[in-house]
Amino acid sequence: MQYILISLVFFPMAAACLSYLIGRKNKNVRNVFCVCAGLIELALAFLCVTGNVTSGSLPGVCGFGLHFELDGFRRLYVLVIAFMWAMTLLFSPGYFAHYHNRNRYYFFNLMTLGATMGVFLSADLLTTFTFFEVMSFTSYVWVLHEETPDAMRAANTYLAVAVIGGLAALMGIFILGNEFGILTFDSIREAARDTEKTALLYTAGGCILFGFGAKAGMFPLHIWLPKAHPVAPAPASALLSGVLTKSGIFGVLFLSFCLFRDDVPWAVTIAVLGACTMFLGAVLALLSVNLKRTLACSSMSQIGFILVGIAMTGLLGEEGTTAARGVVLYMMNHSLYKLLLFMAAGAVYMNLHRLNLNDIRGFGRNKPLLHLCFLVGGLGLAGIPGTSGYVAKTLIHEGILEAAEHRESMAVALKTLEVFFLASGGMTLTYMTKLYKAVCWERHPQKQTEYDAASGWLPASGRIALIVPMAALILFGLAPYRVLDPIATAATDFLGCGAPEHAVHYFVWENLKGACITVGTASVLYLLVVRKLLMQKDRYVDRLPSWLDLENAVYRPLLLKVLPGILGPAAAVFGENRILTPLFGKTVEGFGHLASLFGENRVLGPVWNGVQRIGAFLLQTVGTLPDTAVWASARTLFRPIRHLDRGTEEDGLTYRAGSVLDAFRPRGVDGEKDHRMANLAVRIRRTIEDTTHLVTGNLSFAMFMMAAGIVFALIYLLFLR
Amino acid sequence: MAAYWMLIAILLPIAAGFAYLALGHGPQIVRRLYVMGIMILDSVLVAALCLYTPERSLSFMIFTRSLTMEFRLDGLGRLFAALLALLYPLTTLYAFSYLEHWRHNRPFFMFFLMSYGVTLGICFAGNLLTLYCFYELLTLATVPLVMNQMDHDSIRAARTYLIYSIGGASLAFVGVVFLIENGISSFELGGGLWAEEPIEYAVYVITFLGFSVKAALFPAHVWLPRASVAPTPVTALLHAVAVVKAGAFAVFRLTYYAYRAESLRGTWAQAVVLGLCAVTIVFGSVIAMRQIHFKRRLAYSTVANMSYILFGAALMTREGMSAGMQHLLFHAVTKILAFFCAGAVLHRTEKEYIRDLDGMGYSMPLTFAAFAVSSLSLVGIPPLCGFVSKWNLLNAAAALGTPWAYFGAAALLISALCTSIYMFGVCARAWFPKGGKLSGEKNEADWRMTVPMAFLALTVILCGIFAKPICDWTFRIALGL
Repeated sequence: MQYILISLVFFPMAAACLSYLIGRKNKNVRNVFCVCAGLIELALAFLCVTGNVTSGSLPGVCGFGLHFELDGFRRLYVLVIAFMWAMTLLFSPGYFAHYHNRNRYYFFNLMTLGATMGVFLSADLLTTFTFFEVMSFTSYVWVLHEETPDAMRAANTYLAVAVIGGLAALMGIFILGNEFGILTFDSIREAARDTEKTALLYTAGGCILFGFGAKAGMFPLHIWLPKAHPVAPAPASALLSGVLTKSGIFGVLFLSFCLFRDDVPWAVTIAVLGACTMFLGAVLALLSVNLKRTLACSSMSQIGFILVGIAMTGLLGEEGTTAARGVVLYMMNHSLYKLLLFMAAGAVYMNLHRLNLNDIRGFGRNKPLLHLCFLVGGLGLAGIPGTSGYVAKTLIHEGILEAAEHRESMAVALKTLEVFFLASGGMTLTYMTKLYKAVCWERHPQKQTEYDAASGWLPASGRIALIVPMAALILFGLAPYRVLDPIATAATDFLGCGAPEHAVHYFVWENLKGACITVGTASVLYLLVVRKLLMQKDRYVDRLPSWLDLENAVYRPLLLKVLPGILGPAAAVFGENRILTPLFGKTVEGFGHLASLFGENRVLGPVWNGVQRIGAFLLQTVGTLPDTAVWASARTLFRPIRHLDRGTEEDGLTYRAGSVLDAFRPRGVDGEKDHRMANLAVRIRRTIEDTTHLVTGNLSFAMFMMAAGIVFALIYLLFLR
Repeated sequence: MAAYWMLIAILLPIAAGFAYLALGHGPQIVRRLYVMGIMILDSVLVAALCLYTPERSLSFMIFTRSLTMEFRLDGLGRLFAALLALLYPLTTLYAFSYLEHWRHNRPFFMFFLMSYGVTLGICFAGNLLTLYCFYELLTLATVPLVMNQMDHDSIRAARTYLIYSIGGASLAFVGVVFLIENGISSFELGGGLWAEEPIEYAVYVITFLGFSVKAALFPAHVWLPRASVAPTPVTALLHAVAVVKAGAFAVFRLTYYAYRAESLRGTWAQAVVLGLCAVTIVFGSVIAMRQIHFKRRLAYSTVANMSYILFGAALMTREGMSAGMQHLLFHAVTKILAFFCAGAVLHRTEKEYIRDLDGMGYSMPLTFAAFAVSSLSLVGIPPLCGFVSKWNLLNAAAALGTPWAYFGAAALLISALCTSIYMFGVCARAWFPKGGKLSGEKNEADWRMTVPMAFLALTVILCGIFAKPICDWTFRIALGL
């Protein structure tokens, strides 16, 4: 039976290879095949979830074996992943109708499905890491799929974050493995409880948090998220936002509930980071005028909400069931809402090829399906009563209140957190209103008739892909006690929480109050900020200053300028005999200049023309100085990568010194200026350099080695034997 | 099998190399069949020797009681011999295509055949004297291969190589004399010299430095990048596998078979060699990032990766030895694959600089797909084989627990980051060029190049997924079973 579990991971990978082969022959068959693969995966997931398999393993793979596990939380996420993939695959053929490289897209899409399943099913950290890395690299191809300059840049950022984050996570995992010896989640949970070495654990936890937090889009590692999600194709952004960020959250869950269970400093850290992410994401989303960028920043903000929930569960410890249920439901909700919203955005994009709100406004008029999508998505994300988002948000809110009661010393801080929480919730509603109103109500000044006439804007398969998740979400929202509560009960086991002590009544005044505050804040914000500040002459304007970009302001300079600035010269000093050869070469070269200066008697010779000559010399020198300064700084401070091609520009200083000499040589017969001195100087320099290079680089070293060998042998044989 | 088969396996390619000179003017197809036939025959022989290992050792040329030539096949030797037996025929096939229109075809295959026999001699060497003799012979047999093109650069590179190798061997010679004087005649795991005196540590360090010149340990690494002017089959097989790994192999012999590794553990001798390895790891990776020449970049990457292996050897524990051997195997297949790809590009398009590789992934899809696999493995992305050995190296370093070991572990991680930059840079350029896809038509290498590349890429993947038996095997070797 465990093979069904394992096939969840490896079936999509096999299907990926198959789809690539099919796609080379026939595109349509490939499309059908991929949709079928998605549906089969969904069926497999159902089979797994309803069956009684709880674990599976492939011993020996990679030397340490892959181990999988299926508990309540994983059951839920396996279903969510398979469902989301099935829907996006259903949406894809229509969306990609005019794209290039579709084969590549489908191949990497299905590969990522397998890897993501692997991450969520993994029962030990090495398995998690293995699939996490595979997932990072296969999803890299999604981000740059369009191959526009923006996409390339975003993809580079994504790759850099993935590689550095992956390495950091590996370091953390390595420390844990070294400390505990075994890396399965259960054993770590037990070992961490008994261990004394908290400093070591915090180091390891910090490293792992860096890796997984980066994937989740946690502040301050969120830089890739607002860039990568908008440029990826819409089905891919839905998955990046809905599922891949959750794999980062999965890592944070592991840290918070296996490694640092009931650890207050850890929970506070997560709470601070989560609050920053939540608030900053909401502000960024509010300021954005790009449809998909708004959604991406919104994802970041929602991840912040989830992190706050996780932190509250950590603060509450044994009594954290409410918050834990909120976290699980919030994760599931956010995945599904973002699926719906990104696919709706994709439907707009595939018709207009624009994402700026000013260009796409009015497209949703008279299109009931789009109206519904944005309405359900917006209300749900904002947590308006009657939606499933409301339930999850209420639970986390309840968690904050309980924590404030439970930890009296932190009551003030937690009250502040609540304010931020409510403000972010208000902003969520504001930016969703902004989107909804812009897309579905406002009129485009020029092209409105064209937009209204757009029939067949979405093929039937795409409509199904939109309607099914929407229907599910409406159902969840209408029957919270029947549907959501059982899901939460079944899925909180990974978070180490039991059944709740008391049922939460969602529709009582205490809880509805939060929603009322949200609506109130949102209406004020919308009327004051969006209409007044963010709109000018009936157009949306981008008020976000471009310098306010963490990546461009801090990370890129740090990685590209500061570190190479330090490491590069250090390496260059030791590399390729850079110490001795230049020293020798330059000294000898200096003598060469002197010799040539006097040898040809060109300085003292033309005394009768002295004044003119000196004038020429001075002018030439002054004229050459800035050039020399530029050249010298290029060779020292901003040293470029060494070119192997030989040319005159390589011989900079020598050539210039020769040119200076040329300046006060008499002109040739026909008055033309030649470069005899310059060429001579270069020739001399080359000869000297080649010789010294060869001598110092090779011969002396080898002679030294040989001599050392013989001397040592002699010493040993004569004295020490 | 009888022990004299070892001698036959060594002498067959050497003799065949001399005979090739006589055959040299025959039709091309006959010459190729001859070379390939000898390679496969010898590889089969080596495989048989590895499976049915001779029980007894073979001694001959007994100069004195302590100075003899001796061949014996133990676990470490089998590991290296099996690797060579796999890679030599593949490279020969590749070389047929690469050297299609080459001027100096004849000397190339002659010395190529001979280098096989000589390297096998290093594998089978049963004592220090034999090892040393074949070690020197390997230098002599491979110098003509480096200067095969006979132009200014290659002659200079060959000279550098010669001087460095002989200089290194002269240092190693000190250790050989010392150890033979102390009665260490034949290799035996755990049966070596128990180091106590300062002079014994000093000799260990000197010999280590001497042998590791061939493994391109800093500061004696210069010859390796320079030698990348040689034809690609040479850079691929000799400068990523046979020659450099022979250096590492000799270090393994020295540390675990001629000395008692336990006696060196925790001494200053270990600190020196571990520190040098760690420095080289970071140094090689950083310099590799700054290279713009494709093959030189790979060569500097080899400098760094060889020090991974030496680092494993210098940990002086069973785990370290086993992890070092794993990296010896896995790096060999990974790096030879990367060099094959670079060579295929050079052969088809004569592009040697990385800046010229924009969009090449579309005109040579198979080559660059293979290169992507190789890069991922070299960086150490699971489930490819590079990850397995690096992980085990890290674990072995942490298990030793001295400051230098942690320093080395940190070096490994920094190097992994650098590796990702210098390898993925090439991949990204080839597959996702700036300014969109180029409309280059297909210009894929022919089957004699693609088959070895595809085979090796598959090996890299499968070795990673099914690493368990290989890891177990290396660990058994480290235990002396």
